[in-house]
Amino acid sequence: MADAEPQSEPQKVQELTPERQLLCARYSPDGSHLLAGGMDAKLHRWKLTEVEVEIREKTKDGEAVHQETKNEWQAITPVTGHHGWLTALSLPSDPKTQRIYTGDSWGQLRCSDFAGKSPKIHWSLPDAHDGWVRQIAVHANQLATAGRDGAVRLWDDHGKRLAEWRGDEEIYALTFQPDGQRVVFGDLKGIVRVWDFGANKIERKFELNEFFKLSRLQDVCGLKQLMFLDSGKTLMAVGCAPTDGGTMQGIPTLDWIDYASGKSKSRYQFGVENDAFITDVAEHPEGYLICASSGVTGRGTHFFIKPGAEEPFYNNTKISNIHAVALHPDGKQFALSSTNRASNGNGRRLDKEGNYVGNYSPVHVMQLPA
Amino acid sequence: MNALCTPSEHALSRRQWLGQMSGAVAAGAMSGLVSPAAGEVLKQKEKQVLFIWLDGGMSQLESWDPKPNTQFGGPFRSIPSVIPGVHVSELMPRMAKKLDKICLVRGMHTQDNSHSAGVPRIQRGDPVNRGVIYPYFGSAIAKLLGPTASGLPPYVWVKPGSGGFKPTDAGFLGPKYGSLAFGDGQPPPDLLRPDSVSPEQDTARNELRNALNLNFAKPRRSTNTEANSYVFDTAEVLLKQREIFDTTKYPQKEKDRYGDHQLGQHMLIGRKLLEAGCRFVKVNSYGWDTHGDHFNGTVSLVNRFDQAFAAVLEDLEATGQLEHTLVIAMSEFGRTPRINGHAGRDHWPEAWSIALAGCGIHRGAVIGETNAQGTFVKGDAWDIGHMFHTWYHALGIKSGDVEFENGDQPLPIAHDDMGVIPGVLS
Repeated sequence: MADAEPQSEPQKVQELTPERQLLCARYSPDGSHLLAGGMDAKLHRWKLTEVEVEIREKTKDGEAVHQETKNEWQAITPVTGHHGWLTALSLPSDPKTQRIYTGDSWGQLRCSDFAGKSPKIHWSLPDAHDGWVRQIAVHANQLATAGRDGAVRLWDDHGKRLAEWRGDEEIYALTFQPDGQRVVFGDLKGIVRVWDFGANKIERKFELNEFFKLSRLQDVCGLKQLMFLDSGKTLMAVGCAPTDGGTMQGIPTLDWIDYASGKSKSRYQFGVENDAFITDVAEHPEGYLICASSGVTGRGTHFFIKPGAEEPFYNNTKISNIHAVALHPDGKQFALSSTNRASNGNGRRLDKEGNYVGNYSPVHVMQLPA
Repeated sequence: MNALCTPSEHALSRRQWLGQMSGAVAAGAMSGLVSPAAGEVLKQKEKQVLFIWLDGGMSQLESWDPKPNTQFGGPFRSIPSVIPGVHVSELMPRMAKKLDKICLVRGMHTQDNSHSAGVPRIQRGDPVNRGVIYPYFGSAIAKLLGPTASGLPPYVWVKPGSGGFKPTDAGFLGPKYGSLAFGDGQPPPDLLRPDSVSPEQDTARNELRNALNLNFAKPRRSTNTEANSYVFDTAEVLLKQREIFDTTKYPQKEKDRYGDHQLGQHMLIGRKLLEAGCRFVKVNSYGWDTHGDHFNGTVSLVNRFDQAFAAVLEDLEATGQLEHTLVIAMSEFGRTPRINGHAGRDHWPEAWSIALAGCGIHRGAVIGETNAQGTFVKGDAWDIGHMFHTWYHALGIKSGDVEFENGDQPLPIAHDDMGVIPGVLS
């Protein structure tokens, strides 16, 4: 926090080390599991587990050892069955639910349990989209999906398709209107549409031009996420105002939009072009936003900001290339899925055994100050 | 022109060069988009080259050599091609249907992972270092095969950004063999005669310029003055073909097929330049250096390449030009299997792919392979020196026998220790 003492900053309580890179992460609504989608097409899972730890304390007679119990996140068997990358996941808000919806880059949409040794697969649609499922949004017993195929689809919780909208551009972000009556989605070019799926028509649309750039031959999309705030009065667009393709550069951007008019109310941008994306945002129950960013390798930050504010009240640049942020339902903990250091480099780089190794995503579990 | 003779026999005198050009000017007086002169050129079936350069490094994994569902394979699916058992990335649906028209070399292994050194090193063929700067492939062909009977400049370059005459491509061959670059697909603004200057005025000016040039040239190195005159001579020939650059007059359907984007339109101009008779046409695309947000960026990059490449192959085939045109599509290297923290791929010369088509090329062949993870070449690996030998042979130039002459120094035209890649030539 801007004027806070160091001890009031979030503290890392655990670091999780999956073998592969992760793309998205969320806690289960009951807070028992941390779930993440990986570039290995797996649903990675960690379960909050009570463990006994040995505590050593110095005393005037030397050292005393005693056992204490504490809660730790422990990796449990990942769920397989997806292909390519597991790019999207979403969970109903009901804390009693055991279900998770997952989507992959080959177009599969799946509903499974998230808990248990071998979680039950309730249903799976291998061709829910023609290719990359970019995002999934859930509202009550319905879910909406967005794909690289330019389609937005509405499904019931049994996997039955209820409605579809098709366009010419890839859809990068979507969310339900808070009342669940509309789906709002944004495409490659930054066009946001409000879809009345009951009437199957686009009710209105507005353009967020700053989230798109044609750079030489490359379409550069900056839109990562759409999210409603203040009971639907504000629509927040999250991502980047791209300035260049190739290495991809741009200015991290949060755009707070008056939903009724489609006009920007205020905008927060920070950093330089190398900082690129705000990749993910979680809304804390106290009304501020926990944001994560990733730029060129080695750059990234996580920061806390109040909607509409000009500056964050907390900013931390020690963890770089963060691609997902998840907020625990108790509001006391959040997790950042980042990238290992020195993740880039041209040409051959082998480990000591001569193997060509990939990167991975350290997950930093952070405790918020009381 | 006999490609089997030694290069010194191809050293055109300026008089010969101008003579060829003036003939072409007369023949081209009735020029249209494809002029009668160009039609004659097509009939002669002179060897030509279309060299498509994707600057920055196209990812082999998101194009010609996908490894779906593997550690480094990325998010995309592969799709079957018309060749049984051979798949390409789902981002190349058009080329998947035309893979039987091309030869895919999947076993490239080159030496340089930087752009600054890698681009010239690749385009110069990375020969044994003898302390001289070798020519780019386009300059080498301009020297070895010369201009076609069209008289059009033998080495032209359609590119985004600035244009002009680029003598440095030519290395030790001298500036005359440099490229004439059409920046943003247009001739240099001061190259063609403006409409405000009449042909008679232009002739008078050129006579004066030539007289002054002769005086200027006497105490100076002939290579430089020849190159200087060459630019003006070229302008005269190009003037007759200026409609090539006016894409507003192209049929919309044709433009749509190539794609309403920079590479598509430049590829279309490139094809027109081949039709008109340019010996070597380089079509350049920039922005392939996808160190960040690679997978989103690649969607548009590869799709647009796929569209333009498929269209130009289709047209070259339809007109019969593919029989005598060597088509090359490549970058300076591929991209790393490892995916960095910016969701990008870095530079990877260890294992990548080049696509070839046209004259002398074995259609439908897939040469070389990478391992299951796509990290390294499995079995025989081919360097750019091998590729240069292969290209020369495809054009009928016996690269082991023909030499450049750099003053009194004979120089091999491709790497001494390398040869033709087996299986590529038909």
